[in-house]
Amino acid sequence: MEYVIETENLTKIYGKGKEAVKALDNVSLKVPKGSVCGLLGHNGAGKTTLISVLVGLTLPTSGSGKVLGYDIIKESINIRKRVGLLPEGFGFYDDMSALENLIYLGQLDGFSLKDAISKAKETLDKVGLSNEMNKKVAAFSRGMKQRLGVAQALLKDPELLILDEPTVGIDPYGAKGFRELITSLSKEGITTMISTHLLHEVGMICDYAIILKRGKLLSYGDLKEMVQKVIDKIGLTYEISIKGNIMDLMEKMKNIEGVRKIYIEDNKLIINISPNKRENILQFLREGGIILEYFNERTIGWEEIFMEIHGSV
Amino acid sequence: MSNPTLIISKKELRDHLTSKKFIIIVALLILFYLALNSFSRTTIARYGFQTRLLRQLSSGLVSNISFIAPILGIALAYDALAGEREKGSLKLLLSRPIYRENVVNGKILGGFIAISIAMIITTIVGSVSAIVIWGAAPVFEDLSRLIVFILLSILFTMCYYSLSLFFSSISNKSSRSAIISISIWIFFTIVLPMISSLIAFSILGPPPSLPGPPTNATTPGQIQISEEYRNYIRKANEISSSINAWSINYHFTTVSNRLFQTITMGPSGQQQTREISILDALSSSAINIFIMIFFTALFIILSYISFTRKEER
Repeated sequence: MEYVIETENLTKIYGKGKEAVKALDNVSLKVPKGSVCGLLGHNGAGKTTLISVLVGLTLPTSGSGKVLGYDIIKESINIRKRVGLLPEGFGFYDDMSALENLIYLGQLDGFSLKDAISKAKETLDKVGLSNEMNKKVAAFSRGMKQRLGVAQALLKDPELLILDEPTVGIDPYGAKGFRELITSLSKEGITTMISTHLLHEVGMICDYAIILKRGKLLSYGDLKEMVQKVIDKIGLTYEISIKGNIMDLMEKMKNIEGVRKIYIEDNKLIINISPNKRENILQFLREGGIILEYFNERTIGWEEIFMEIHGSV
Repeated sequence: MSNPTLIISKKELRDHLTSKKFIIIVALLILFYLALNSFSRTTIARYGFQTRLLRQLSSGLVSNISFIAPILGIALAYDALAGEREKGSLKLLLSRPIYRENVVNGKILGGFIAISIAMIITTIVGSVSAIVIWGAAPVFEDLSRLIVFILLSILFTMCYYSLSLFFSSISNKSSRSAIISISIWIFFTIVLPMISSLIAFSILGPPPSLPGPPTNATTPGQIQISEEYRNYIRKANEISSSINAWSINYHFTTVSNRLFQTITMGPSGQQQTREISILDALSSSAINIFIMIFFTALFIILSYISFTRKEER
């Protein structure tokens, strides 16, 4: 497998002495090419620091890393030539139009004025802002600014797109549109890394995940595999209610193979079972001729999965 | 044009030339010249003073520039880096494949050109208005002195620009950088000259009393100043100058006054007043010019160091 990001014992300490803060603590990870990778963690987990170190905005205190095959310390210019970055808390020049902003940034990306103009128009069209290109950025909504932020990151046709908290502060409709945009970009084959603390976003967009906690790497890898491991660990939970005696049913069901936990809550029978034994419950209910009033398989939320990996904070 | 420094400087220059603060300060300088020239016209008409351009203009030029030029330097630099940091646009700039030095160089180049334009325009308008308003007769010598004065004014303004740029490079808020820079300007322009006089008089004690008019005075009201009094004033000036030498304004005023200074030569009764040659004026003020260059270079270097080492989180 080809990797676009590889780090080895990456450590970053801000400050000195008693005020020193370890923002990254021996982080070693890999991100495969073509993936949509979610960078997860609470505030202060080290997500932004990791991004800053990867694109050469901040030097690591120790450790090493490569992005697109370039050394993060010695070849950061080459990295920034190929990586489109949407930084957290970015801002545009409000007194300039969207087009002027992109032309300026495009020229700094190395385009001639003529190419910067055509590239700016092309990316504005891609993010759905072509009708607003001559409007001053000051008049843009938060969602439009985020789209413009993605446009500036796409100017250089990046091989890797890194988005730091891209949906913070935008309304649900804006966030939905934003997710659609990212999905369409990933279909174009651009490897994307999205830093977020909104877990449902990761589930909707990403196929790969990195989880950080207080600068330490908790887990990274294929998101489906990660989720499956958690489900295997916490099991599936069913909620059942019947017309008859629920206590009798509980007595009968607690001996089913694979049942881990069984109890009554609000007149409902709650059964937790190993995922690979779920058929046993369904078979018991079918063969026992039990008439159900209510039957539900609890969905495992992203928060639950995340908390399971992350632990309590 | 693909040089990042030139791209940034071009934007910086355009921002300066179209900014309200730049236009207001340049307008203030021009208004000051117009007021000075109107006043000169009145005094010429009343007392028949010589209409030599430089003689009438010089004192106004020096005081005008030494007071207002620092404001221009501070106004152009206080938010140069801190403002970008505050808006979040610095993050977008630094995510391009450019070096941090390009950002500082672009800012300095743009600021330098804007300052040069301001100084050239105001001096030309001031001189032309003098010719138009009170019929000053410019000679070639005046032109060359004015050119040297413009260069000195640019250097002096750059002193405050570099000072303010340094505070902008270390501050996260442009308001903080502005307050510190303005405080230094007030200290150099108003507080230090007052303190220096106070210190001189407190060291030397009260001045010897001035004698009354001599009985053989040829002119009514003429006062014979004693040698003791002259020595007292000379010593007070020396102490005051040595304290004022800590202010960059002092060095600009010294070299500028020397540029426009006249000396009186010849035996009593046949004395002739003539200007000191430009070369003599400059060579006798070499130390002052050196200090202004050193001051500018020092703060530019400090700005480089602090900006390139500051971690943008």
